[in-house]
Amino acid sequence: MNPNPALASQAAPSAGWRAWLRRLVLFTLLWWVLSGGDASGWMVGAPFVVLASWLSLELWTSYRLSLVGVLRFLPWFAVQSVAGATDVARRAFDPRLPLRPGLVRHRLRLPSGVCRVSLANIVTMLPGTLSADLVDDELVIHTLDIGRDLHAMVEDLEPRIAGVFGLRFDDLPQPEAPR
Amino acid sequence: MTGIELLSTFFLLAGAGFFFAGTVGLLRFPDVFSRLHALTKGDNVGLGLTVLGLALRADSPAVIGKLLLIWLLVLLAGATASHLIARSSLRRGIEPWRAP
Repeated sequence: MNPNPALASQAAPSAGWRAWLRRLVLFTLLWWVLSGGDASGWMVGAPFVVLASWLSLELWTSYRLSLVGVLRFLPWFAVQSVAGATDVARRAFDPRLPLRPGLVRHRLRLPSGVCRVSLANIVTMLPGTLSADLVDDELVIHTLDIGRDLHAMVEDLEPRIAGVFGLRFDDLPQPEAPR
Repeated sequence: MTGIELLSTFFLLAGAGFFFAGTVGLLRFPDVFSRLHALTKGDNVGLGLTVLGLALRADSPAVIGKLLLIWLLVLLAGATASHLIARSSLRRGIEPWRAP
């Protein structure tokens, strides 16, 4: 069903105990946060932690987040977010309004689904770029500065997103020839 | 005022500054696409710094977790809404503004 060796190992038909453990820890943490650390809430919380873990395993087993990938990604994303917001603030306050907008289309190598959607959402937070459409493997980016090389920017971003989902980017198939 | 409170105040004011910049962008930028740039990026960092400033004053780790969760959900909602607005604008044939 899935010809891509990098992805085959991710699509487990039934959840193992490790997957269960990860979800249980995640939802226990979530309940703890939502209940404000109040111990009396666990009578209600515990059954729903189990229920939520089961439901999330039924609904989402295709990819799992890699903790190392997330920890590597977050500092980079924080710096890029501040750079993006500073850049747009500088343009907004500049009396000359320095904008050279345009559209760029880029073919993605990341697999469809949550990987591509995450990439599209993150592109919006990076300096000068906004994801404007996603059709199959083609991402349409609106940019505030058409002079920049956005293909290089996305090609730098893709391995980082792959790392967040525990994929090895080099194993992913090459994109088809540009239209 | 202790050092932590001073730092917290700095983050809160900086966050407000980014929200302000996003609003100025919304008013000044020429078309729907560039306005979305200003709003999404300004809100991401504006709320991020606000959350950071409040986290420094939080009473318990659970409160910090809740603040981070709020930031994450707002980020997700903002990016998704912005993508949908940009997409429907493109598909309706709205041409992005170009520098003259």
